[in-house]
Amino acid sequence: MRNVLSLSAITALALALPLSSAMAQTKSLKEQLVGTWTLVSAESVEPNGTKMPLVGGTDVKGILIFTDTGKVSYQVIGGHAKIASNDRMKMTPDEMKSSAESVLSYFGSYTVNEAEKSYTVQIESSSFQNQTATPGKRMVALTGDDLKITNPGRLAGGQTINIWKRAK
Amino acid sequence: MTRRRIVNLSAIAALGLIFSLNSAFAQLAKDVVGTWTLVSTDAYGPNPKGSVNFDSNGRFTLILMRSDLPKYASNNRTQGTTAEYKATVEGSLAYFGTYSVGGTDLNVHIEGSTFPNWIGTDQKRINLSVAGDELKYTQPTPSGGGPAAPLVWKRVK
Repeated sequence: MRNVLSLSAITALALALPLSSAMAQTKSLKEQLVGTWTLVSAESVEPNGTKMPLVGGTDVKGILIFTDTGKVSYQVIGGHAKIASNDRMKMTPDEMKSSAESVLSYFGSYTVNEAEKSYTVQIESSSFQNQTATPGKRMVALTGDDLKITNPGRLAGGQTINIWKRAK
Repeated sequence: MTRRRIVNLSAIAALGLIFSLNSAFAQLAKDVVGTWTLVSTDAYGPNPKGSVNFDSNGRFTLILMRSDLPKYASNNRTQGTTAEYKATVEGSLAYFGTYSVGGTDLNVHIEGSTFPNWIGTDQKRINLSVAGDELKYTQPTPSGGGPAAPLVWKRVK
């Protein structure tokens, strides 16, 4: 009798394990996106195929947060020279240029297209304000904690590719 | 009532106060978690826009912007004019990193910032409070100079 019980327990366990991993795999794309991501790399690809860093500066860092309520916040920023005046309102033209070109920060709302593995972002405000004009599509490739997001419709032409890692 | 009894009672009362303060602060740390949209700030002109997220693992991202930032004529982020760059960098501030709540201080470690002088720094926002769906704190050292600045945020649902 005891053997039968043990066998049943083992069978139940064996059944439960693949079920839980199957359930993890059937999570929707949105459920997998929700959370905080830190930047691995960010680049632009010009229409002629030339690749270059998405932003200027060194030691580029970034954060991307998707909330379950459909909000998104995005920042990619490269290290750039300190402002001599230590005052954001008193920059030289060169400092303004290097600051502006080392930054892309925006926030807004997003909706996921599960079938297409994409989402559309409606940007509410951005350091590159041109992005607020129309919704933008982003293609998603997600494997475990690695997230690749492609913007096939870069405003200046070509595309951008961001690689992120899930923050823990 | 003996003196010892009074001392004991006072000790218990003090302990009770410490516990309730501790749990109030612990509650504050939980209450800040989420997404908040800007209600008001002294800088960034009329109807400023802003968003801040505090995640449950201690990371945050914060963006503040004037509502009249320019669109670039070139439609290319790296080909702004001097005037467009000026309006953008003077009219916006964004930064991100890690945070913790200690008492009513919001401690931030800044990993990335549009204002480069802040990158890698540890800073404090003071008088942090959450009441209902409203979050408030004071920024003692604004990036654009001037006196300590209060910021008010509303929870996004």
